[in-house]
Amino acid sequence: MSRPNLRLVQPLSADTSLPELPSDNEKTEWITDPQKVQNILSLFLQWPDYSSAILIAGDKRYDIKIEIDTELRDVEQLFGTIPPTALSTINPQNIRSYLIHFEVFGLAYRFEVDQMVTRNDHHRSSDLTPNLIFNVPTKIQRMAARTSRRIPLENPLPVVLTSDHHRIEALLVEVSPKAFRFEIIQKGKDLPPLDRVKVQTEALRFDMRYLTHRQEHLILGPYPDEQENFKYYFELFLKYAHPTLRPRYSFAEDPVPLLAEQSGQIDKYAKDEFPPDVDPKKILHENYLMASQMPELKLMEMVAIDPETNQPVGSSSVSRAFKTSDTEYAWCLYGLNIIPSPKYFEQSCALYTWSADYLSHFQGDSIVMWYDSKTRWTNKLFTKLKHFIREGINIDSVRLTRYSRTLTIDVSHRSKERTYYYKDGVVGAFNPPYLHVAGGLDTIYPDINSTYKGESKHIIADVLKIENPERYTLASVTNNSIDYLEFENYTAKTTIPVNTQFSSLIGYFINTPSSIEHITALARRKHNVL
Amino acid sequence: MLKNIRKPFRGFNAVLLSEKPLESQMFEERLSALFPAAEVSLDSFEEYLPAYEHCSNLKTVGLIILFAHETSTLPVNAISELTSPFEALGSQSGLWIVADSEKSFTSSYKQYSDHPGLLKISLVSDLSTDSALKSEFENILDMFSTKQVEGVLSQDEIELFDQISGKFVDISLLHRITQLITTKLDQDWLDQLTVRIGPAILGIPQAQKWILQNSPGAARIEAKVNPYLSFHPSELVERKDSHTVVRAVLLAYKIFQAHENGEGITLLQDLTKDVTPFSPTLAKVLKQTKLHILQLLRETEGRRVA
Repeated sequence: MSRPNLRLVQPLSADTSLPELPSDNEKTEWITDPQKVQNILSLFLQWPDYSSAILIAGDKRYDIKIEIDTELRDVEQLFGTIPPTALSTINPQNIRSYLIHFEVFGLAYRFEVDQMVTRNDHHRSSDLTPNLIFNVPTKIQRMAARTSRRIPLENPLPVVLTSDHHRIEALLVEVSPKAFRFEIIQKGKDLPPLDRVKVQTEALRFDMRYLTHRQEHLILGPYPDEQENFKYYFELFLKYAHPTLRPRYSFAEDPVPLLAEQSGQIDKYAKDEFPPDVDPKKILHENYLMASQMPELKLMEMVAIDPETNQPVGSSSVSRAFKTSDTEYAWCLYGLNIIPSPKYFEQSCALYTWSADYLSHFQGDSIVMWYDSKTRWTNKLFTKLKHFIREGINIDSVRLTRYSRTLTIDVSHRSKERTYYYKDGVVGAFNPPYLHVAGGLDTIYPDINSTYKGESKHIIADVLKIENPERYTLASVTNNSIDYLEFENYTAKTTIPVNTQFSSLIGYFINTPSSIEHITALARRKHNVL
Repeated sequence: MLKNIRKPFRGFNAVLLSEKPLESQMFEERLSALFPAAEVSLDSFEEYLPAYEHCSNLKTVGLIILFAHETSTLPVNAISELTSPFEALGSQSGLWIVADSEKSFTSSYKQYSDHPGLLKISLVSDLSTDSALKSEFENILDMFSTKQVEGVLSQDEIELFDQISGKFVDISLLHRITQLITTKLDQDWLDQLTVRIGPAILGIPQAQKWILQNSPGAARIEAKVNPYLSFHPSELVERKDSHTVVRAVLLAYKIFQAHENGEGITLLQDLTKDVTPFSPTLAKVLKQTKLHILQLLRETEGRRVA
């Protein structure tokens, strides 16, 4: 007999009907290790403000508050509180079909209720004290993580949708990273067959693809591979999902080089890298302009603003910086410049979260990032992510070395294309130099699943065959047992204060917002900020 | 069995310090997953100075978890500096060293064995499984709590109060009843001290209580216990406040007193007769331990102090 299960509402999928019940073969994981079961339940119970639960009793669903007797060291029972009026519908004889579905920090789980006691004197009571008791489960099913959010618009945005000479007036009523929901204004009229739809707002005009419709609601998705269309789609999404963020290209004067200076990134990573008469900020800006003209990079950079002053206070970037095969890419998350102040904590969170939203469209690819493990917030974010997701995420202790070139370099003939290298477990890419202030995008590194440890000289020699005469920066990532690699015509110059490599499949990285929510909650509790 | 374990983390913070990238943070995540209540109390560092600033600002960092490697050079007094603000508040600090090899285990022992806060040196290879780490950290927490208790009241003082109390009551029986009722309760170090010294304090007659005034630790526990002295046993059971362990110690004493008057069994039966799964904590604990307490009362019925 199939059992009715609850699944989290998926973000504006192709189906706008109520969430479907998952089929038996849906990929979920049963956790039976007592220690892991305990860890998950303890986390859930520890963070009531960041968790929720539903009791599924047959075809009925009730919000349920679950708690424990906090005075006892060993917890054998869970106490549940459902609305007293709902208690009469609960039949402890039928609990075999009852489920508890719970969420904590955006990760969802469920378990079957085993043995339940109801409080008989509680039906008419308005007292919201526990009225159900059930055993602590011995196994828990981990559901798919909440991958993205739906954000309803407080003030729906009027838009005009056109497709094959058909013109539809509508309101944008809900956004998510994966799709928009529109409400058609001319109700009762049959929709023409749609495929490619032009969306026009007062300020933007871009194409979306038809996903589905239901009554007056039309769901359209973006074209992630069409740079301009996707750019404007994502810009509109950001406006509602991350209101403190603006695309870098939307600023009349590029704010990122100054932010790199103000946040101390230039001093930290490139202090002695440039001659005294060269302004590193100018180089960063020029190379950004060049990178913007390289479609394969799919460069996307966001700037966070202080809503009170409207001044930029931080930035972060993602780009398809590396290629791991003919068809697969490794994206790089880099350049987190944030003016250090507790005041901009929310902006710091947003500067990470948007990248997960953006990259959710490219789940087949991987992502790599290098950071200084002394940066406690970043370090905590990724170690927590690794700890919760476990598989598909690597965090390695590495050494990032920058090289200088001994040959005379003519930078005036700089290549207008990015050079990608991928072979035998080694990945590298170059140009434009200093897109990232630490030079981390002009780098050779071992691929995620590679067993290459830097010993094979022929691989290094092969890398050097790349025609790249105008290069003047290069960095390599090695594990800590190797000081640096040797490159012909290059001299190892400095060890960059970056010592950690985070690499993951994007399918796992998109759970980042869950870890961000967790460490944000933790920071609030530590500092007694509600 | 789901463990609660919240109270042992009350009142102090811990710093994890390792010069090896990622090590302390990874360890913090492991501990946080095993003890979610501890997460808010843990902070990891890879450099001494930021750790020092953190400890100076917070003033509640009492436990240092230091990762020792063969190349570790952090002097003993540097560790003491981290916890000196905590000690200035009158508390005892603890040092747990996690060594990455036998060699660093030995060198850590040589280097830190004189540190007054040293709780234990563990080998990281012995902590590779979650269950091993959980068990070891529980040991460390127990040792840390014991240090706090000993910082307030020495073992000699505790034994002295037991001896004095023993002149007036069957202190051994009172301790055993108290243990039965409190053993299932989550306790912080002050609760542990209450369980340890509370029965003796209650057993000393009012006229002799001046003895306690020479011991700040005993006086502190007496002040916690006093407000509940006039409570009826059923009030102690039903009351909803956070001093469950104090009420449990008082409840044990009231049962003991009733037993002295030949009414202990009746009182116990009364207190447990209407207990349901929704009853208050102490009522359920009493019901669960009822048989053991009854057995104890029956065994000692013949040797009640007149």
